[in-house]
Amino acid sequence: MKSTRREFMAAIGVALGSLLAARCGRTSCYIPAEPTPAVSMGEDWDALRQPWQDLDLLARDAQDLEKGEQTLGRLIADHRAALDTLVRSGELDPAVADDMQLAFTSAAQHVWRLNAPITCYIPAPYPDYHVASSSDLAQQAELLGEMAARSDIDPATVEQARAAIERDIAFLSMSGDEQQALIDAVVQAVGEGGDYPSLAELDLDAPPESVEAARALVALLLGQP
Amino acid sequence: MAARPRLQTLILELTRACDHACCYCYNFWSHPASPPAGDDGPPADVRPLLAHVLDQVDCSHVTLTGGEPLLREDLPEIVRFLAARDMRVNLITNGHRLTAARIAELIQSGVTLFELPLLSFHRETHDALCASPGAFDAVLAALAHIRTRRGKAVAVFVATRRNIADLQDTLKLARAFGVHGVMLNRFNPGGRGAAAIDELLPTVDQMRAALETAEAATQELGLPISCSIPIQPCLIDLAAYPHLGSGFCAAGSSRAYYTLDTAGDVRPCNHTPTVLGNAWREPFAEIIAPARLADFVAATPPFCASCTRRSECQGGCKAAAQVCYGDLTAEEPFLHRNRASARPIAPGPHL
Repeated sequence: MKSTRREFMAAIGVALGSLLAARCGRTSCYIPAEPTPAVSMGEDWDALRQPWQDLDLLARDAQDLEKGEQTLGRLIADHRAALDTLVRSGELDPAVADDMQLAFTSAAQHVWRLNAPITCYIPAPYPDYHVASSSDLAQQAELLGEMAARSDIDPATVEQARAAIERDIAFLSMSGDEQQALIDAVVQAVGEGGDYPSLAELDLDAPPESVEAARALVALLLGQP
Repeated sequence: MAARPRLQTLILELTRACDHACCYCYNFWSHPASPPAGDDGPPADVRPLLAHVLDQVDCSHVTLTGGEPLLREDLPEIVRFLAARDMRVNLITNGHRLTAARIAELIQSGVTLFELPLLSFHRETHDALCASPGAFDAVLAALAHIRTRRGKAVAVFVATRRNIADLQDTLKLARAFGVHGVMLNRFNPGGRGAAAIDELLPTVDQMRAALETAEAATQELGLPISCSIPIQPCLIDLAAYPHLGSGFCAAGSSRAYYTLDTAGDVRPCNHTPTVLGNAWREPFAEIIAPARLADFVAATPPFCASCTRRSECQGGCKAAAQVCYGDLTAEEPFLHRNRASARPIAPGPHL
């Protein structure tokens, strides 16, 4: 399934929000966390960083329906306003700003969904992304075997489900070189007699503005002007 | 210009027709006292209606349901229309017509999430609840095809007396097929289900055991599970199940899921027959204005009058009370049948 630009930016936002929530490290009651260095990047950039730093506030407020929605709306609006300021001053390209807003909106909604009481028809606890780890896939394969033995599932369906799991396991199990070799083989197979466009002509899932937006967000949150 | 109302989702009922006859069906038109749904006739193009409504609201998520949406041949066109407007599209279907080819087409068109029933790990139980032979095989095949196509699916387990003991193994089955989550919905009588309350409605003890099973499964299987149908805190303390998502009636709030049918009628949710207005005849903002919703939102049973969580819980699903007992302020069946088990709610914060 094609990963769209929107999905890419949403994943960037959620990943950054998660890193912030975890403070990039594991702390305990007995190991005080090092405070994040407060490096100012200028008033306008600091205003853009503030909504990201307030995601933990959103997590708390989200447990109250009305309060959580107010905080969610305020943070998204604050982030947009800070971007607009940077666009007006010429420090940000409008398209990059739009992608940054998309990333933040996704991060904020993710935090809200994880903490808010849910309703029907927005299946709230399910994030918009899914990464199956090797252990996930191994568990699925084991459960499939168990349930196939205990339930009278159509054998063809079991085989299809098994094939999908095995495909994912095989890909995850490949080394970087093996994955590249596979890609090369596919390229070679398709390329025989084919006329490939240059990279610049391809409609990539992550266009330059999105890559720039992701880079700018990482720099912002790390306090690296 | 006034700000456009913000909707978290809009539900569109594409048809009242269905190829299943689930005994737990909540669609009000399947109630034994309702006139037969019959044939909708040639389906009208809903895209002008959708455009008309979506132009008036701030909304990025549409849920397509029915009846059975796959009975409409133009479903992929509707999905493409929504995707072109940058909508996330959730498709609720019984899965019986979800062939590999249709799944590929729908994912390509823009369906972001499939919501499918998985009622048991036993074929005969699932098929009997759906009153449709072959339903179990079809839904598992659909889940496998969705997985193969790297689509996203959630499984819906409707907890009734007839299948609630199957929950644990059904969750394992759902996990084996790679679903992204499970909705553990207690049977909520309405529609055809209103005629089978005695047969289907679980007891509080049964539901509590199911929640314990689900709570453990979230951690053992790494499977997100949510309970979308309200469970009254006086009957079961959901704080005991911290890994399960849960919620109460959202009607009238900014989380409301207004429901639109193909004629343009708008309802507070898809369980109630109450029509707030028609989208072709009135601005959407007027249809969902607080004054229009006041009676629906304010309705709570007298039993709840002294409860400190009344405004949050609202007595459960008032639409179920409305369909089953003809009164929004009646005790909905799960409360009515189990009120002897109700415990007093202590004052103070409840998180």
